Amino acid sequence: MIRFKNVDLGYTYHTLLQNIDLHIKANERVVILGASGSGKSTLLRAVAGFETLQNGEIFIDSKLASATKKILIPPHQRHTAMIFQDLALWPHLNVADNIGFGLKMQGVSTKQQRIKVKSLLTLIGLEGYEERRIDQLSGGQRQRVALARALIISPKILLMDEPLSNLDEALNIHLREEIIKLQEELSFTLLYVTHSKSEAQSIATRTFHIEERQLKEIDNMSN
Amino acid sequence: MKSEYIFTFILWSLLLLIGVLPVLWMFYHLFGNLTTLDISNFSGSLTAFQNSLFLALSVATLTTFIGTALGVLFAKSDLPFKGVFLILLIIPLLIPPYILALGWIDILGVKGWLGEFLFGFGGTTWVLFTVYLPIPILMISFFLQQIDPSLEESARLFTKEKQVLRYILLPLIKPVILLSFILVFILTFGEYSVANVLRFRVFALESFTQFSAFYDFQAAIVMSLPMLLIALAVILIERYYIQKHLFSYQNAQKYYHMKLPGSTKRLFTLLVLFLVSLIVIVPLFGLLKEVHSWHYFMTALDKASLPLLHSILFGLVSAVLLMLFGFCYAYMLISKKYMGSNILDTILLFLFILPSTVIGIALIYFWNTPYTQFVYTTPLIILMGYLAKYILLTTKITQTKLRLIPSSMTEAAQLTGATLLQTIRYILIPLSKKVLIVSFLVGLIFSLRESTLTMMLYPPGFETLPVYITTQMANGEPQIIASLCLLMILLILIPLMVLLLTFRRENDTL
Repeated sequence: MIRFKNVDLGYTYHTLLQNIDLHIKANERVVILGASGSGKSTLLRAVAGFETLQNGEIFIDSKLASATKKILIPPHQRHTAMIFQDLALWPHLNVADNIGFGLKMQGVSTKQQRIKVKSLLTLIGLEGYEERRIDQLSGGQRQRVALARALIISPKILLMDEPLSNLDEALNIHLREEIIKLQEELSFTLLYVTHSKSEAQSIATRTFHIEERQLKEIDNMSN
Repeated sequence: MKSEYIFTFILWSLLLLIGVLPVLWMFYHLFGNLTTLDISNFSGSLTAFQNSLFLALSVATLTTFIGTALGVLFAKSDLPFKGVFLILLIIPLLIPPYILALGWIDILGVKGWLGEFLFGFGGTTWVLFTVYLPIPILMISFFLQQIDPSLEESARLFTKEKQVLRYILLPLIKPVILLSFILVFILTFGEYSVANVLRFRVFALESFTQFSAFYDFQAAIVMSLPMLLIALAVILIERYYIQKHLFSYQNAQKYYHMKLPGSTKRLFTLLVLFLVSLIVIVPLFGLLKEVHSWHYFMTALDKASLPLLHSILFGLVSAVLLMLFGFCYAYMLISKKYMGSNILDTILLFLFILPSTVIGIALIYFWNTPYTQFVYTTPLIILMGYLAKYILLTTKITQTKLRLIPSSMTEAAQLTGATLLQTIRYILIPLSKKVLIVSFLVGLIFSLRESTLTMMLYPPGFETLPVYITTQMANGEPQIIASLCLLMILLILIPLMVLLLTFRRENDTL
């Protein structure tokens, strides 16, 4: 599904990640652990097509998506969705318009959009919230809206950049379970970055750790 | 606690004395003497009012459309030389507007169909369009760069860059577009120097004429009333629509540039180059063409040495005051714990958008008493006018920086026992050094360019360069007038260059 081949990532004078070789299979839940500034978000953004590679190649669905200093497939053609750390919900749009935006861009009819938005709102437990403004939602509700916005286009890959870091523990644990349930139900590949070991432990089918600019697989989380 | 009371008292007293009380006093007296008003003084003013309304609408519409397009192009594309283009486009806003009108007269002449176009609605609209175009450009590009890049990225996962611009970025800055439209509208409505040069009858000019030619205070105040009402309407729109719909963003560290295809990039570059040449280079060339000899320039410099000195002196003092009080008002707005800080913003905006003629008449009416001659007959009254008019600019500039300083920094200082003044002196000022320099330079540029207020307020023997140029326009030699205009432009370009160097040296951050 996603393949990194000798990938170097970073800024002009500073390499964050070096020589990354990784193959993520379809429907896997891969978690990348790492300290702040270690490059885990940069890795995610490279898969989305927001960061160019200093070196190497990224394949998505066996197609070359990014090569050295080149974005070959633009972000909107990668069948990828992303949940940002700050959620990036558009403040000028209401809940329904935020969720339905992806469908609107695909040219789906307004009626179909409404039906799909409604079914997703039911799925995430926010029925009747269509007209609410983003600033009228709680932290957990916003999290769910961001999730629904990402899932509405039925992505093959879902990227999550520390999405639960700003929530209290109880909500954090509850949403982890919901994410796993949705992933199993909708069958997408999940690439999740966090600095929390417990999040990694409960979500991942495979876990990696960034250490000295290298990606290392963790066999046993308890160690 | 005591120092906080003194701080609040000084700041509110200043604001009351330089603007609020004079305006209230002026209108209080007007309504007290309505029965003695001679209606015949206002015959024909309706035409001037209609002219002003159409002029303001045309200029605001033109600048908003073209300024939005340019603002987007400068902020969101990889257009080459955009920094240079932007600097050149800002110049007309920083020089007295009538200088541009004089430049165009030198280019197009006063006769023929071009002269006919210039002297009237068309010419006045064109010149004021070139003056105010930087307002939407600066506002829109600034706000586009403040938008959190993740809002854009999350849309990029669904669609192309053009669609992101259409559905996400432009709706997000809609209130800013409206705000720039309103700002240009009100500035055009209150501006009369260009209309004066191009002999187009506008309402602000009528008010000024009632005051300066007939010395009829009451008529001048009545003429100010519609301008005051428009200013109040703007305040209401800003308070109840724009502020509610304007989303606040942090200073985005990184923002995206659209990669324009080769042919589009070339086309846009040529178009912007053409516009810059037409707006900036052509009128300046007109003035240079008129001067055509070094001799005229030296003669002008010799004749205007005293007004030049006054301009520099008043400009420097005013810039220091604008910087200091701008800092204090910004602190008051940020901390929100001082008395009246919630209406402070509205008052500062009100004074800024109130036409200069209204502020001028109000200050004269308030300070011209036997007991306050120490203000009225000295340059103090000019400084008060500059402070009233431009304090909003330096306050807002400083506020952008102070907002980024975490409140925990000042709270930590206060926990060590530091007083308010010590916290300001040892914590906030060192952290805001660069923004204070920027605020000083902006204050200096706007004080140097100011002509309308100075014209009304300057005491005998204290005329500034813009006032001297205006008086010379009545019967001076065209070559000398053009030389004086070039001198004025040079005077403004010096602080502008320092301002640009300050930005460059500090890596473009405040």
